Amino acid sequence: MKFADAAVVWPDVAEVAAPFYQGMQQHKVMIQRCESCQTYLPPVQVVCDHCGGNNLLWQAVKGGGEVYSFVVYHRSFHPSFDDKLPYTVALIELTEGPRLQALLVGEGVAQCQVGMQVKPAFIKISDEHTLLCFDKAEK
Amino acid sequence: MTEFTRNYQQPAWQLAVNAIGLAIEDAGFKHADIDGLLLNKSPLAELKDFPMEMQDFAGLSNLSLLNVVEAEGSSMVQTLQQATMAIQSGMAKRVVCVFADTPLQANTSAGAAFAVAMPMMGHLGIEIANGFYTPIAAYAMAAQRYLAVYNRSSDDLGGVAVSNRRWAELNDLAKLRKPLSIEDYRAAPYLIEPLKMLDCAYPVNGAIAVVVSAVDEANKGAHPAAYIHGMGQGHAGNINRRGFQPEIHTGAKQAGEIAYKMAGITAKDIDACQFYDAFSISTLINLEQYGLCEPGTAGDFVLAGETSPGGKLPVNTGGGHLSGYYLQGATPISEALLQIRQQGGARQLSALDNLLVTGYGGRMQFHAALIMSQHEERR
Repeated sequence: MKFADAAVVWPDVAEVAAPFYQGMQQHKVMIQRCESCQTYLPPVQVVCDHCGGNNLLWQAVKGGGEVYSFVVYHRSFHPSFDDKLPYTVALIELTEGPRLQALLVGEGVAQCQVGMQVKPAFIKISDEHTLLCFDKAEK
Repeated sequence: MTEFTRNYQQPAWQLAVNAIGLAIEDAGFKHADIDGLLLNKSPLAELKDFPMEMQDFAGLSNLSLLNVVEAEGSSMVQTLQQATMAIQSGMAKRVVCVFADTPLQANTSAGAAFAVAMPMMGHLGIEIANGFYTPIAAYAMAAQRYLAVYNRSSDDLGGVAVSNRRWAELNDLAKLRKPLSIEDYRAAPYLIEPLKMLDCAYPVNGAIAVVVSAVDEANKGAHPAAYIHGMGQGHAGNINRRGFQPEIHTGAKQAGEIAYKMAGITAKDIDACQFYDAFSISTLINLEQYGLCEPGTAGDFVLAGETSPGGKLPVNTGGGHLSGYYLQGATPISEALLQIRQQGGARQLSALDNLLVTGYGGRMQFHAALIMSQHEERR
């Protein structure tokens, strides 16, 4: 399954989410951190759910983590994904704590299970867009 | 309630008007007696299709309470809660709560109607690029997490589908009544793994309306009234980071604790449950979060037949959303009322002291619960 060939479906990026998307283009995993209590937060927050602080700073992290949960699409609900079946979407729990939703790519897809260690994989899906996906991490 | 159909016959507002008229008459009132109207619009419908002007469409004037209650799948339970609070505070005396929806249009299947990108990540909006479409996916994500955390198999999900089907076999209103075994479930293909079509709600077009009045007017109608003894809500948020598992630890826990306390009961006193159960996984999680099963044990409880006809704790006795009819939060309320009115036919329950009736919305973030009884006094 190659997502490089996908017809591009891309969201209208909210201004508050822009650093995450800019980070992806530069092969960086961007999350937020509360300056008051130092809690790492999943993008995008505007108020820290731990302490209520509103000074949240964007920070690049390595992007390692594990599969928290995942689903496998056996039917397509959008024409852009008709030729991608079956494909796997996972919730990845980063080492720092926040979870990101992402497509799983590479050799690890068939072996996917909750708890599997993963690393980021940046897939260029068009001239303008690179998508943060995850792949199984080697031991 | 109107007829429930799998084809498009009338717009939602017209179905709602029909249901409102039937409910007012059934409760022993006239249109002029009604002073409150609470509208539960489907989250998929446009406000213009179910507007505040429903008041005029239904011929109701001089209302002292009027609102569109928007709390996704918990809305219909919330309309009954708001009606109760309004009556207790003196703002209204007789309130109609109504839900109507027409997901099946002339040129649109139910599958297409619900095939929207599922917001899980808030403002990030990445779901579209990830191909994360339909609410089924969010529930599949919860199901996978649940099965992994408790080391369970997908038979737990199948058990819910089978239990619902067994009840549906006894319900003339139910849409899917062909007997279903766990072997049939295992043999069915995945849709969004680990969920199958049999794990998903069966949509219909239709409308359901309920009149809420004070206790002293409860017996004006031809049928016994249901008494509300407890109400609660719980909205635990969607915190996507380590230490939180919003997929399996939901606001249902809080909603249940508040409702039980108000009714002066505990989970052990619940005779039967009418859950909002758009997906099989939610019944397992609701059984646990409402304190009826220990975490990770709901699957064994269901597979042992305890939620099925003849079991210790009947659940979704009309077939629920999976085999009965999916009219969002109106489905569990309608079955609770049919039971209390002794209109359950072959599936009629005998113990009706404390029914747990619930709704949830989103991907199980928003919860509302009622404790209903056939008795005015607490039991």
